[in-house]
Amino acid sequence: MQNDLQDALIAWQDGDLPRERTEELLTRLREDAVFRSAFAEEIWMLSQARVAQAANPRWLDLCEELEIAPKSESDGQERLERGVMAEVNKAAPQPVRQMDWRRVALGTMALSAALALFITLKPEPPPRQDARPAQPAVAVVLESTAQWGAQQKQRPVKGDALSPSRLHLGGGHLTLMFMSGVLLQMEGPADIELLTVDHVICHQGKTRAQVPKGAEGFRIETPHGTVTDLGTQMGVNVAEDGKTRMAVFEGSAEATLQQPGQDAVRTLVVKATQAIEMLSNTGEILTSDSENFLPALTPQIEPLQLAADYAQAVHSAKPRHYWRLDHQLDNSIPNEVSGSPPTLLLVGGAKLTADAAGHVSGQFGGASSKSGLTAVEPWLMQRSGSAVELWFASTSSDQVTLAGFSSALDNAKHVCLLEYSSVLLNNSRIGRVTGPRRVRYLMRWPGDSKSGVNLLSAPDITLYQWHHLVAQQKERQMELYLDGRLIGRGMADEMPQEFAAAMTFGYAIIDGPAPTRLPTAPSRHLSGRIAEIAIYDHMLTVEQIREHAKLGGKKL
Amino acid sequence: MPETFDLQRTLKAVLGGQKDAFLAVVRVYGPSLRTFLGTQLFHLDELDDMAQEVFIAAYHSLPNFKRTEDFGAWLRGIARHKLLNYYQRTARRRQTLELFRKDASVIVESDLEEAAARTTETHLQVLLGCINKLPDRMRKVVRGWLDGEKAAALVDELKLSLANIYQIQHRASQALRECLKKELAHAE
Repeated sequence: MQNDLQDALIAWQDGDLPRERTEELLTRLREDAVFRSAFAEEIWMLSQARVAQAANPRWLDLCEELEIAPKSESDGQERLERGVMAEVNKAAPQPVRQMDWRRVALGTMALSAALALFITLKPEPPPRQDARPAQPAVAVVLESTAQWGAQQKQRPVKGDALSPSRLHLGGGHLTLMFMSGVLLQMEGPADIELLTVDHVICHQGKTRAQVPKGAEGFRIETPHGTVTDLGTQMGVNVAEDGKTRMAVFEGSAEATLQQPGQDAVRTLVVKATQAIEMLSNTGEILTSDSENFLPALTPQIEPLQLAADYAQAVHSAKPRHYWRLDHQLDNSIPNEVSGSPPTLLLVGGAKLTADAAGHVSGQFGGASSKSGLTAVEPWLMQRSGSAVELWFASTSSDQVTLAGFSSALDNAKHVCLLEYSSVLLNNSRIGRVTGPRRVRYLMRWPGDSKSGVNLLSAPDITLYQWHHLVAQQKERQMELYLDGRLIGRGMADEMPQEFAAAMTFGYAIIDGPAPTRLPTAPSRHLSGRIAEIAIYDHMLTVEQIREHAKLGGKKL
Repeated sequence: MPETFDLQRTLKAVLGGQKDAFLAVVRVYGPSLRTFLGTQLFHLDELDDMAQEVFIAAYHSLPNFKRTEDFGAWLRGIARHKLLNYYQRTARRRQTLELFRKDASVIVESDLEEAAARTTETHLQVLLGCINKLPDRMRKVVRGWLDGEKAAALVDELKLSLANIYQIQHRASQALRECLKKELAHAE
């Protein structure tokens, strides 16, 4: 950087410069347009970076002046503004251009044509009255007993989505589920900054991270070094004086410490049951004890809040089959539609259990329990229209099959799949298209395991929370709805008028690896819950879908 | 400017008595106004207080706003007036270097106007992502800007010379400009 520019910036930031020098700089600013422009760019960037990192003001005086209530919740301002603009724009709503992953992905989709896979992505949402680009959420509050510090302006509560922000806990506990699937517990007093889905700064406090497969690389930065997960459960404690200790309970993590007065950093891979202390003044990483770290927390799926008339609403939509999963006869779940076989069988470790609110639903234990549901007789899937509706909550970000429809119970020739966290494409050019937090609806004909037309949700599904899902088709048209909102539409392959579909829920029969694709075996087991499975021989209307979602507590 | 925001319609709603519609104006013009004020006020509290004062003054002066004018430039005009008052109020405390900031801001006024006209909340959102991608040390320097820390305060923390801190600051600024340009081009 040229000396004059550096000195001008020093002067601008109240640095130490003699009066004569500042006069020289002012003269050059007046006379040299290029210099002036470079200087203006620098100070604008400096200011822009400060404003970008700062919280939005609450505009209390302004609200008082306007005689309106200031925001009190984290999303209050946005909600208020949206309401205002909805009114203002009521006369002529205008479309908004959406610049997000869907648009980017759409462009790259062409590259995957060679894979014989056509992916239909989420369409433009309805015109948004609020043109502000949504601040990307990095985590959701799973549990909170937090006593917030005085400097905490926005005080998130359970269920709130958090954008990059700083959290000041005076005491209590806060548990976050990051969008990557990382579970982060923290105990106050704590001062923690959320930067991205895989990076936080712990200025003070106790934290514990559980990092699932696929989310490795989660970093906790501290005043005295950085800890990077390598697939683990780890705890990081930062005392008020900055003293930093780290312990690994499972897997391993890497500690990184800047060496004083050098550009070099010291690194150390810490294994399970080991604990360390990082000393920034000497650059040493010392062995420590594993005491006083936070104990592991096992979050619970929130209770499903179904309205009393939910079943009536489903019956009104005339399902072909309806399994509420709230009671069983021996090992089977009766069909609620009178005189309509088939029943569903509980497979492996699947069972019906009550949640904390007493609502009974199907509980599935993941790969280890080999659990699922199987229909004893096939469903005649109609080309003229069909729909699958269910509620699900997952406790893991592993790929699971929520519903599979194939030509027989023992083969992998699916014509329809409803999945969560699918790994569909892992191409270095376009990246992993699916993955944690997306729902996939696949239709293909003929049934096989290689091709098909997919609808994919945005990556905004949270673990431990219930989601309402409807996948439906009519002739070639297919639609996917999540939590009462349309995710997308696509054109499926031509299929016959009728197809006898063997049904599985909570798992699928999947081929083994290429080239033999043997053995074919049950796979992609759900770890979580399913409730209220309904199968229709027709498409549901948008109004019916929205009503069902609302009766399960979804706000639309 | 976001495509769904219609300034004329919004101002009409506000002048028609729908006071809360003014919040939409605040949302759209707030980021560039705050950035503009941030070039001259280092403490966030002061910056936000003054941004609020500017919007309140603008709200009361709305009937005087000519519809053919650039609303952002009009707001910055009010802001300049407020800043001038601020400098007058704090004249006794003013140091040589604060005078430099005041004089320099007048000299670079038109350059800052150009920059302000380009700044939207989208820029700030993208920039936040860019900051998070910076290497640790660079990001610490940028974090220091937010906290109003002088470069000298970072010397001890980063164990670097003051000249090095300013060099890192300049490199961070360049990296952010490049990232912003790339991300915005990509998004469009």
